[in-house]
Amino acid sequence: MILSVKNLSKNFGDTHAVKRLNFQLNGGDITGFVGPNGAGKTTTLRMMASIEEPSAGSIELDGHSIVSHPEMAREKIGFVPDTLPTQDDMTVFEYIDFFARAYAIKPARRRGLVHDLMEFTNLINIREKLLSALSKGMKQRVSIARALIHDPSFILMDEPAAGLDPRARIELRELLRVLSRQGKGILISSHILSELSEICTSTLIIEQGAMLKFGSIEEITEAEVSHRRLIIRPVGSLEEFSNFMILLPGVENLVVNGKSVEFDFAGNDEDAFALLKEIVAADRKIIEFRFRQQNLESVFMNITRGEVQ
Amino acid sequence: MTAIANILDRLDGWVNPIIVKELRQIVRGKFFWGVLILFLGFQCVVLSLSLADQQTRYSNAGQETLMFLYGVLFLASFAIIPIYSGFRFSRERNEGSDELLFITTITPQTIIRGKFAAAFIIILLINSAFAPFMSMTFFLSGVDLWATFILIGLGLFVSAAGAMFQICIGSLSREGGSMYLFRGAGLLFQVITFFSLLGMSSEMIRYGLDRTFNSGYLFSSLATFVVFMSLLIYMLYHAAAAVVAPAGTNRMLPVRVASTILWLVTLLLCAYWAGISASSEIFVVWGFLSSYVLSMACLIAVSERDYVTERVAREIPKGFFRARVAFLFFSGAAGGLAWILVMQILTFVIALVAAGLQPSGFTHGRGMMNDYMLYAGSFYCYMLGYALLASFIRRIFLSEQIDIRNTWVVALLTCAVFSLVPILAGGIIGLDSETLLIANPLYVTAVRRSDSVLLFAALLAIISLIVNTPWLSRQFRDYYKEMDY
Repeated sequence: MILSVKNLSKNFGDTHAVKRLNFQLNGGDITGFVGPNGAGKTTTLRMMASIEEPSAGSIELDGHSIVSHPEMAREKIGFVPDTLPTQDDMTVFEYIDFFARAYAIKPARRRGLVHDLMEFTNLINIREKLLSALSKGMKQRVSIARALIHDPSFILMDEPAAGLDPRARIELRELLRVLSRQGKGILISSHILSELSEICTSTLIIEQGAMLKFGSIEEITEAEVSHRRLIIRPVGSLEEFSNFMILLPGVENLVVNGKSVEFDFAGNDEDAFALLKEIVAADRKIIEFRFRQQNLESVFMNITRGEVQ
Repeated sequence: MTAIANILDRLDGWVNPIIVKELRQIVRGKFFWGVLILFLGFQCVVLSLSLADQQTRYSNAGQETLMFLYGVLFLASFAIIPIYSGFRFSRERNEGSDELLFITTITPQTIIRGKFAAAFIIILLINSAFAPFMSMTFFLSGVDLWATFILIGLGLFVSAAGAMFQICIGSLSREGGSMYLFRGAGLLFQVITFFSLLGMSSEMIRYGLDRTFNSGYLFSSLATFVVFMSLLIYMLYHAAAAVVAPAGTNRMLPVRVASTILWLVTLLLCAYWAGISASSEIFVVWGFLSSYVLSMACLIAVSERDYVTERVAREIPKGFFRARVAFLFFSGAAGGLAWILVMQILTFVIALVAAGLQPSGFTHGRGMMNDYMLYAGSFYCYMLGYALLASFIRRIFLSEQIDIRNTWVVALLTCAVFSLVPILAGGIIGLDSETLLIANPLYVTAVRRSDSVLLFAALLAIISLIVNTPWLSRQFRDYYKEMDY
């Protein structure tokens, strides 16, 4: 199953909240949705969940428009908004049971389903607790359980990790992995980029409503970084080694960092191998030779400017 | 699975999920139990005191006791429970928790039906808890049992309408200032209506049914009342569902259909009562009321979306005639204004024919029509003029600041400015003339200078129509482009 977004735009008066977004989600993919505050992430997710109507463009599920047929989205898409459940005077069971009823799930199936889902999301021991008595992490679990009640093919999550403690975040990550293994496509917006890098198979970066990058994290980081940073740890005098290195081709912006030297290297893996050979041939002793790991955070900082509309 | 379990299972699957949720929440809350216990205690004490007093057996104090008990019941079922239901809905809307329902398979109509049914179940519960106490007043003197039963029945109907009204108000109260404005207005209306109805009820208890309805046509009067209240509930139900429905849907269609049905059925009721009273004057009264309501609807119409959404476009019926009629009923500002115009013309024609049929003669009929033209006609022109002018002002100067759905606020402000500024300016320059009041839609009720009022109102409407012609014609064109021949 494919959920594709084509030329999606949303205007609020003269403000262009979302501008011609194009991307697609496949079943089993976990796609990170990244952008500064006010970039249009929530508006995009709300349009995909059929809460908001686009100003232009389309959202299609296997080629069928969910803009003109939102009932299709309701059956196949689960949405976890950035707000937590507010019905404080309902118990966990009542809340999930209510949404199961709202999705018109038959009573016989509903009872088992609610129970299984509470077990899956680790809510079974607190089923009779009022929502008002739950922690943020637990409420987030309830929200996820609600979004999963109708067994959707795609799950849209708006900042699900915001405000969660480390344990709750790890548990959320594990939950997402399990859902991905079940073949569900997940689009997750988050500001915690290090966590997204760990679980996402692809990333969509937007700013001021426009798409900046879309692809796998490796593709994006490699395409974005023209100069990779190389770290070498020599044995012996750092100053002497630095003087040697600075004369070699492709080495720029060399700095001493602790017991290592670090520099931009303008070359591919073959060139790096040639450099290593040259160092060894010159009888220099080294015990570490590696590229600095490029991560989503550095890519994000490089390509966004933090501007809001 | 046993047969009973099977039936229960089916019932469980059939019942509206909103009812289950609402009842679970209401019954868990302290508010409901507090009201129930407090008021039951109150009834218990009052009844005990009345029964203990030997003098009550020889006077009409049974009526007094019943009136008091009914007042307490009516306070709970007409005022407190409906206001509480509306307040809860308003809070949900404000928190945005109702939005999640729109990504389920539930419809806005189901939500409103569920809210209403839950409120009505609570009202029934309270009525049934209070009924035994009220029936005890029969042991006191001066109580008409039939009047009591009918009173409770009518009270239930009125309470149901009150609940739907408050739910409708709750649906409007989405955010910030408007939330408090609507809640305040709703509360005020409910309280005023409560006291008015309480007065009517005490009259029914004191003087019996015949004198209250004053006609000798008790069942016709009751039937008219029940039909009218049912239609009012039906109309408010669709209005609330339209407000709650997502913006892109064809949400005005059911509202306009319900309004047309209400218009038509009230017309038939008028025909029935005109037949009984052998006077067509009632049609003119109906015409006045219908025209005023339709005129106010101009403010709603200009606050509607001014383009055809995908969801509306796919609902346009096939066929030359049906597609054109659908334009009047479908969501859209221009369609709304066109529908109001058609309804105004029909109302006018019916009132005109009725006035002509007036047995007291042509002169009297012509006088009635002159009044109709002056009051209803000028009010329509004023409302249309201000609504369109506000739409123009919003589009040209305030499109960034004010959303189209709030055009009605601009219209009311424009009306207020046009009504007040000339008087203030006149005060400053020392000019004291009645003409300064001419921009005020209520001016016509204070003076008899009909020609100038009508002329001003018509000019206002025509100028507003002219400046909005490109906007209106663009909407017509957009709609016809979407039509499938």
